Amino acid sequence: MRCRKAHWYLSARCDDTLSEKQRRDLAAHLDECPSCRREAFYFSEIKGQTAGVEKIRARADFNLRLQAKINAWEVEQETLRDHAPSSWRTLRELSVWAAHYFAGLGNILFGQRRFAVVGVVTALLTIIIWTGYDSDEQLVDNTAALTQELADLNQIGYELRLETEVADPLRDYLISGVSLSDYTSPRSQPNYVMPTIPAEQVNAQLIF
Amino acid sequence: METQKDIDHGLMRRIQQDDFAAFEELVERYKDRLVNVLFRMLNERNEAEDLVQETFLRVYKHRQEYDFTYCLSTWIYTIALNLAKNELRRKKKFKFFSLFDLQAKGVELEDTKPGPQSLKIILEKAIATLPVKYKTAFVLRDVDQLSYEEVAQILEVPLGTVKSRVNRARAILKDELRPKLEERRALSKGTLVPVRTM
Repeated sequence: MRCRKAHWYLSARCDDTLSEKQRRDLAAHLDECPSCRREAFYFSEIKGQTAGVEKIRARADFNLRLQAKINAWEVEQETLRDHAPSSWRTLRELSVWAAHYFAGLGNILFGQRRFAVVGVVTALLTIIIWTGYDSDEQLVDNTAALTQELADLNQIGYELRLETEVADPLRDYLISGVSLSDYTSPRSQPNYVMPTIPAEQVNAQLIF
Repeated sequence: METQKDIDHGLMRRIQQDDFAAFEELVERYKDRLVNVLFRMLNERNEAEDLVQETFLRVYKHRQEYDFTYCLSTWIYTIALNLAKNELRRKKKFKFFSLFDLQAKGVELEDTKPGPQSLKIILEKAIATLPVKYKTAFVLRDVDQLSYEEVAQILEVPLGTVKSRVNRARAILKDELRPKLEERRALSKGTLVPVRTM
């Protein structure tokens, strides 16, 4: 047997995994090789010393600290479960908000009701489809919120258009070189009333 | 007769049914062994304990995902060793020294005192300086006394690779300890007279 192979066997001997034949071969080699006998001594010493290396144990409060961490995690999980919106709810809210802005911006920018109508229909459909998984109360809340939102946005749209009606005669005055002091705004008239959208009109849009 | 694996699986089934007493029993079975192994890996007791706690926390969090075709001990050791490897990688990345660290490692400072050191202390220091892949295999096999098969499963390497790494670790330790071992050998043969030092 060569010394290199004997070294491999010496490590295996530490684990007691040598076969009977391997054990005999190794013993025969050790009898005639002082260098490998020295190596065998080293290996057995290391094995013995390693087994006697101090065993580090967990501290006495280990379990308490672990328990505290688990409790903290469980509380965190419960909080998340109670307060985090479900994915359905998040999607629903996103779609309703998208519909609101679509309707409102269409009305404000272009003064055209068809954008508002498309927005309302989209919003209602999404609410009806998705609140199918939720309570009737939620459906009522969502519809009421949408109605209010649309009323507000349409009001803003009307007011903006009114401003345009006021601004156009003012521009004409300025171009024609007339002094600004000669210009009278319709709002300054004593019996001027700010136009508002009739409630029936808003409801009519929603019914449509 | 009930094997260790059967006992572990019984505990895990109870843990899956939210039996916290079973979880405590599992912690008792493994905490000291894991702290010892991770301490040998990291050479820092507080870090070792923190990582063992993190290991048990993960076991608890993912208790429903446990696959009963594997040994529970293998699963737990794999989690713990992966955490230790990540920690070692992080330390290597952000390597810095502070006085507080040195004070915390009182044992190491004591070891640097001049004078004769016992073979056990030299061995512990030599284990601490082994390359990680050899150290992991050596600690699991020789310090924690796991079987080669278990070590192979935990490290996810072939059996032959584990044997080779353990053998390599022993060879490195043997070279590190050679002067001290030679001294002991001479003493055991009676060619050297021990000298008591003050």
